[in-house]
Amino acid sequence: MLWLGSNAFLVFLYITSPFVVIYVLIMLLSIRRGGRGVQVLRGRFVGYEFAWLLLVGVIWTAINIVSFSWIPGGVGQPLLPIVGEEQKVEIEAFMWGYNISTQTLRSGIPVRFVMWSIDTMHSVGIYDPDENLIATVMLMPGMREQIILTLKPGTYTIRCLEYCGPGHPFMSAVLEVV
Amino acid sequence: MTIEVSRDVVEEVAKFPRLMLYTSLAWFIAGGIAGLIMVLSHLTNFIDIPVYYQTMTFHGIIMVFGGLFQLMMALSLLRAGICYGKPVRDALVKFSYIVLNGGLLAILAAILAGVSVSYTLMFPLPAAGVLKGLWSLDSLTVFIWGVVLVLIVVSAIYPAALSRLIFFGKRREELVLAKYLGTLNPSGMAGMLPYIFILPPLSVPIVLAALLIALALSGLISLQGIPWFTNPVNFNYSFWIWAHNLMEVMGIMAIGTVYWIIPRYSAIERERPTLYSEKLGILAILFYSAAAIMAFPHHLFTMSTTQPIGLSYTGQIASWLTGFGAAFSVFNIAATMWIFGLKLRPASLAVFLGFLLYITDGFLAMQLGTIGWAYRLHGTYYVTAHLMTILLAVTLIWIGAFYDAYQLMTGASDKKAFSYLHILLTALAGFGFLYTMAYMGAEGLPRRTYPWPLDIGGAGLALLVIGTILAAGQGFLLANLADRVRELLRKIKVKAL
Repeated sequence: MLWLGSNAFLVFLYITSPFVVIYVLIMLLSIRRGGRGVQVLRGRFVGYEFAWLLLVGVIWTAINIVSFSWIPGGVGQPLLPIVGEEQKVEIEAFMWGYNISTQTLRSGIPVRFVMWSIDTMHSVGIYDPDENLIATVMLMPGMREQIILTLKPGTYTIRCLEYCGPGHPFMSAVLEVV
Repeated sequence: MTIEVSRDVVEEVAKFPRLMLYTSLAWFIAGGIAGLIMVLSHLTNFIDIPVYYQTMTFHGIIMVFGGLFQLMMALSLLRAGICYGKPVRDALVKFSYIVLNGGLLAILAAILAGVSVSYTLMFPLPAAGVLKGLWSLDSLTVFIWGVVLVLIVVSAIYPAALSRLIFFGKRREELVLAKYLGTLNPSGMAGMLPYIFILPPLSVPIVLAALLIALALSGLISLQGIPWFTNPVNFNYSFWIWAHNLMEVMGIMAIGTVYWIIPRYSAIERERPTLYSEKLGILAILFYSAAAIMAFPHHLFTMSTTQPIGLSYTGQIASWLTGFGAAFSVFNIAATMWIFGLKLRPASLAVFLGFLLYITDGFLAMQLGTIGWAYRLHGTYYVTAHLMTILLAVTLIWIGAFYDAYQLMTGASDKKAFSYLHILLTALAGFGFLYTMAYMGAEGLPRRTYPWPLDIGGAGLALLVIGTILAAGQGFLLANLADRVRELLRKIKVKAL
């Protein structure tokens, strides 16, 4: 579940905290050392440079490869046919509410969310029963978006995450998954 | 270092940059007060919702364009002038100042009349707001004309003024103050080039769209005659290609500033201070620029699930490649400090802390540029954390450039204790905003909501404390400048009499 927002924050802390500490230390030591460092052999630094870039490259590549599996179903596949028992819910967003085709869904069976906006930019942010944001999709007038999720039982809240005027903070709806 | 150059010479290069600098400070103060009102209102609900969103729109636009952009404009034009020996006072410079601030005043008037569309416009919200009766067509027309003026300066007049100073006009040796005030290392100057060469061509669609819409709203052309430009999809793609690359070229110019300030404050006196590796510096700028252009689709991952997945992958990989380009700079700066030592001065401290904040935030930006994470974080305070931090980081780097040119800009020396407090409090606030807002976003709190629909314990208080720290930091800057401001006000009074 590395894709969850709270885990993204932990990854951010794990990666950046050591960097901040070490970089500040380098700065403080550089102030203390003054000009004594000019004796350092340049060749030694080439090795460090290679090691640093290799470290960054490995971490970057690993995150990118792993992250492709986090992309929600249906993204980039607008013509994906409905298969098996898949459920479909249509959500129409407007200033400032949602028209939803069905508000009761079955758990464990993939749900295809098909969404659009009729007036301005909105979004559908889907919060699970524990208030984790499990998906957010921006809705631009003129486009029809889709995403496929499999949900566990409970009450899900939909919130608009794109500023759409003074009613924006109150734009929400609920879905029941049984 | 005491600088001894004639007052006439100083005025030729510093008069307009100084005017821009003081104007940017005035906008920063106004925008900062708006920011404090916003965080205070989350704790006390003391303002109405429409007023909150007017304040938010004002805060965003003014801090980015009136404050940061104008500060960057002042210091980059000054630097180009003193490095290449050209007076900074031609028509392009004057137009940049007048048109930018004229545009901002028009935007301010429209916001006061009710327009509240945030600094990203959220197209087609400007039109939807009129249809919904949230603001009038007249106020929207004024707003869009203000946007057009700002766009023209940012995308055409300022880069033209900068390129004129660098590439055209006769060099006058007495104006080459770089020997006192800076270095002309290749990587430092190269940081200015992406702004000149990348941004203007990428701005054409959005400038054209805004101009045509402004003309249509003014009744000079038919709105039905420009359907391509009023289509939300076309408008938003044009907007984000521009907005993304504007932030990137501003960031690259800030990195270029790090490239010349850090070597300039080496512990060892060198005739031509340079980085550990100038070649690596140039490579980083080229690499960063190329990757940054291709990274713009990361703004659109969640705007369109039907966007071709290849475009989304390109956006993600390019976003991470910008981070790889930044890794070159991280090493180069560390090696420069380690080998040549570092003198602790306000300029070097501000630039170092700004760079540190920039790089730290860079990882958060790459997370947001990752498709899988973007579908769980976009639209939350995680994005605000990135935006606030990147702007504060770049501002801090330019504050370093300001302290480097303090004497030239103000005609006096700074009070070091005030300068250090200004910088340290600003950096502390930068890191405070980064971690607090990232936490709020990770908890799913939607940005641009008032009141907040989720309860994130202590978030409002934390933001208020951090905002107060930031304000206190700027108080030390004003205390530093107090004598100069008093003198300026006296001159204005005398002229008025």
